[in-house]
Amino acid sequence: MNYRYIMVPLLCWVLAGCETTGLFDDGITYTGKVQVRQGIVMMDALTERLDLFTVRADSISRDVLYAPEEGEQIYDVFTGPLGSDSTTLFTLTYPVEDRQSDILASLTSIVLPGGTTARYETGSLFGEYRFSPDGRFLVLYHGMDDMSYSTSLFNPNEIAIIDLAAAPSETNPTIRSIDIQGHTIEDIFFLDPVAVGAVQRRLVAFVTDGLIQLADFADPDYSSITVRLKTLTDQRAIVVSHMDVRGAWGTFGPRIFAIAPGATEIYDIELVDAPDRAAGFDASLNLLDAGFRPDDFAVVEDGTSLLLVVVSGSVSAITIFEVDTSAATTILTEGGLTTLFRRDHIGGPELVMYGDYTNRIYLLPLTDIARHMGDDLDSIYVPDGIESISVLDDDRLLVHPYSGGGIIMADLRSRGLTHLYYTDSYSWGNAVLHDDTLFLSSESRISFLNISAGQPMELVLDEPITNFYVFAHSGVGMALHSTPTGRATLFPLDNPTRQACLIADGFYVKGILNGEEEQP
Amino acid sequence: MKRIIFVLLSIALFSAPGFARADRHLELTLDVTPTAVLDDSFEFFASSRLAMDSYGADVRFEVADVKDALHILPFISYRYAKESGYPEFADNGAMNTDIRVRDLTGGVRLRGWFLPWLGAFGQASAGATFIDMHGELDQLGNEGMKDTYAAKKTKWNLGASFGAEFRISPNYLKRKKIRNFNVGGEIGFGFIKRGRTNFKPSLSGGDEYSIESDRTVNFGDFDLSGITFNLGLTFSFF
Repeated sequence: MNYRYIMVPLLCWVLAGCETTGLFDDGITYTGKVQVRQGIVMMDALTERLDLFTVRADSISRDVLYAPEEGEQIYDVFTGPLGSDSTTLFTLTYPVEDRQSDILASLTSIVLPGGTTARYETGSLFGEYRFSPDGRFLVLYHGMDDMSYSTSLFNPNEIAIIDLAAAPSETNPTIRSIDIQGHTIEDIFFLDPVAVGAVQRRLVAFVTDGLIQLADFADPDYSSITVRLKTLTDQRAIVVSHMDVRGAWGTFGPRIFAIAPGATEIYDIELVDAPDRAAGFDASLNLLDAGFRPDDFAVVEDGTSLLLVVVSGSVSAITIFEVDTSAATTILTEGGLTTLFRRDHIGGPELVMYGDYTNRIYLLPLTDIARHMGDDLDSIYVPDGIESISVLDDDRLLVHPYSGGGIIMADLRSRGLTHLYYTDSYSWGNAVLHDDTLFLSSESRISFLNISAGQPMELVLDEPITNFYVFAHSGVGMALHSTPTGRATLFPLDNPTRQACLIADGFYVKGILNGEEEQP
Repeated sequence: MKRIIFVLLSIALFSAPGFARADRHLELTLDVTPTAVLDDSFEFFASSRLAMDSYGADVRFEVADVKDALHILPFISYRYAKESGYPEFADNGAMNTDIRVRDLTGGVRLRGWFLPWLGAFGQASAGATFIDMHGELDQLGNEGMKDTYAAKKTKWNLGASFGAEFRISPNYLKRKKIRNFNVGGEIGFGFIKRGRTNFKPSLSGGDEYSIESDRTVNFGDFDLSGITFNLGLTFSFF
């Protein structure tokens, strides 16, 4: 036997070693950072596994939170109405291969931190979703882009209603088609509960061009009615952007008010009890012509009067309508206002109103408004102008001036302004107010301002910051860096100093040498 | 390390008188020992191939023989290997890694000469492995950024190998009146088992203003055991 044929390859193999297996060539890529109460959830792009990075005062740990079943892939990951303070995570999944008929598109809820899941099979892949304000209901519906994901028949009016308080069942989720005559759902509004007749109803409005479908979520069958906002020949695009529901008040029955950017009308939808109808209620539409295109409005009840306070970017005025008479009172302003919100404080409720590229923030007291009709309108003059505003809380606004060079803190209680100047490029749109401290992040600095003392301070870090998070629940701030091993700087929110900082390093690579199956 | 060398030399030298009369001589072998590492995770420190090229020397002393057929040679051995890697484990960066492995072992070789110039051997050994691991982030960053990972470990090792040895025929040297010297070589295969280790480095770098960090991350465990191949050049004295 010629041993040469054995020895030579063996020698070559031993001398050369083995070819590498490429274990570390694919790269660790985490995408889709979603903040939850405990920390950050990120998706491993290679394995599509969701990992929870729990942020504590002294460490960051990584745990596998969720992995889709074999044959599935993740489409979207999101939290509920609590946003960054959520303790429940939601993920939409769909089959990798169309021929896998036993796998259906689904929504899975994941309770944190334990990872307990509940799977709701929806059948169709929905690209849009809306939560009810209390987080009990989740409505999945098709957006404009969903048709490109569909490979067969597609119904744009198909929706899935999920009762998150109930376990998955044949009727949960409820799959149905709503009658909006083939249009795409543009938006969904969850209205406050309202009594129509003797029945307490929980109305949800499905909005499309020229139509509103009102469904009662207090009804197990989700019975609904259709309200048409324009005639069939009306070519205007009328898509409701704001809605407000009011219960019976004085001589006024329960009604819904709505406005749409494409219309000058204010829609007054009166709800009536109609036992003879399938839904048990009906609606009649009244139109209030504002004469301009409203951008926002508020419904105000005062005594026996029901008023609408309306603002528009196209007119430099605040208009107060009396609903029963349609009479209007106009208060001139400097520039068109586009946004308003109600603020309740010790001095009484008021409306805060502002518009982009104007110079004033307006405050309209609501106490006894039916009598003074805006005579006591107050304002805060912003010399540098308003490019945009972030609402920090009921008492404070963050104004980005169009003159540039800084930001302005507007205190609605004192009607005062605090000018903050800086030269670095702050991502001020992500400013976070925690207790009395405002946090802002830039490339490698975290600035914070004690609102009460008015003292700005800085926390300069050793590395560039890619993301900045405030975890109010645990009192920890975290600056995430781009270091490939996974690195973040942690600091206590009540003591944001370099001395109190802690470097949490390596949370991406912990256990990486153990192989994928052994990673934590 | 000095203590280990002293103990091993003592074993080799003091055990000699207790055996049967032998053709005592000292051997010095210069070796190159490629090792095919069996753990894929070693790729973290050696991106091109899963192998370590070790270089070193063995010192052997023949202390006894059995009927002039089987020769007993205790030995001490030293090997040094250094490998470098570049794991691109993240889309936004990679790390320059290197590992240095020093083996210090002692053992016993059994040898038999079939022909005056050709023989075979088998040996077993045990000792210590000293491992230095480093990683440096390949990323531009601020001066204050800590970018260096370093760790040291000491583990045990056990080894065994067998192979063939060559030398100039003693009869030939005798005819040439060359005494107390020979030169030869060896080729062998074996296996080395090293204690499982992990890469749990400290973090350093940055500048004098950097935030201090005493936290370490455990990259995980890996095994440096592997199949060895040995080539040596042997000088015999006395």
